[in-house]
Amino acid sequence: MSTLTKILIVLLSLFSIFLCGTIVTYVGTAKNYKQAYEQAQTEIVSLRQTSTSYKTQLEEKQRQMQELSDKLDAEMSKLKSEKTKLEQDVKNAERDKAVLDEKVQNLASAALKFEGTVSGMEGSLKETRGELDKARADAIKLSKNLNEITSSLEEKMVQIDTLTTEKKRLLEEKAKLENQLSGKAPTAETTEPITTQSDKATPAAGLTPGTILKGKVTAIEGKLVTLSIGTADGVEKDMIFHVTRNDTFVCDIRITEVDSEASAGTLQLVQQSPQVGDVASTTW
Amino acid sequence: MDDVPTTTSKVKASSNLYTALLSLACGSVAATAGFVAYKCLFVYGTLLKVVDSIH
Repeated sequence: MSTLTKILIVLLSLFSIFLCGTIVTYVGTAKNYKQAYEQAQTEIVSLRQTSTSYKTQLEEKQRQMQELSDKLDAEMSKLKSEKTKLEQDVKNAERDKAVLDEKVQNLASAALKFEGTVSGMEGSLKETRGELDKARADAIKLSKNLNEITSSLEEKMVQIDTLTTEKKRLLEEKAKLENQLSGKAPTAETTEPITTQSDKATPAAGLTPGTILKGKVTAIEGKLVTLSIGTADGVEKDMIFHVTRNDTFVCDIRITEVDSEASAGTLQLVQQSPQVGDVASTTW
Repeated sequence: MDDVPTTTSKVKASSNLYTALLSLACGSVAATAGFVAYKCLFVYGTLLKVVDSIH
């Protein structure tokens, strides 16, 4: 074997080993394009499915948004109409309020006037009541004086009756003494005067039957007439009152019901229809 | 032509060292070819067919 052959064998072996190592290194470290392709294909399919799903969701969302938009538009139009209606109602309410305020002011002014009128009437009423109380006190005083005068008169009349009786008795005794002096035999028995000596007169207490009562007709209900005087003034049941109007006889009233401040009776001898304010008296 | 021996006697290597080197070279080439074939079959599914372009 020649030397050149030996050298070629060595070089061939070295290059073969070097080239095989290079190829093995390249193939071993080469990228797996099939796996990358399949992975990329899978990712593309997945992304396409995701895109389809997103498109579907987008369409659904757009449809919902459109429906919501339509619904909101309808509600907005409805609310706008309600707003317009409410504004009209507010205007009407304000107009009514203005009218009511004016009425309230008028009523307030009328109430103030009425309050002033009532105050004046209350003052007049107080004055009238004072005058009425004064008149009642005067009437009571006059009635008391009248009763006293009547009692005094009755007392005087009783005294006159007593004196008349005493005078009559004394005249009888005088006649008897004259008869005795004229020659008639005296009788043993004691003579008793025909006229008995009455008790001494005592002042009358309270009202007497001769007291004059005077009142007014206050109410008329059919045949029942109410008078302004009662038991406090001396009115009693079955008393007769003569009703007159301007010195003209109207009728008689027989008392059937008596109260402290009033009395009532039935009509008798009616000449005219009695009226409120007619004078009723126990005497003419 | 006369120099070439015509006898069919058994060939005998003149040096075992260079024979071993040639064997090593051939073995490495064969191993590389097998490895490349294995990778092609495993990765692309074929040995010789050209892979189609990705559509």
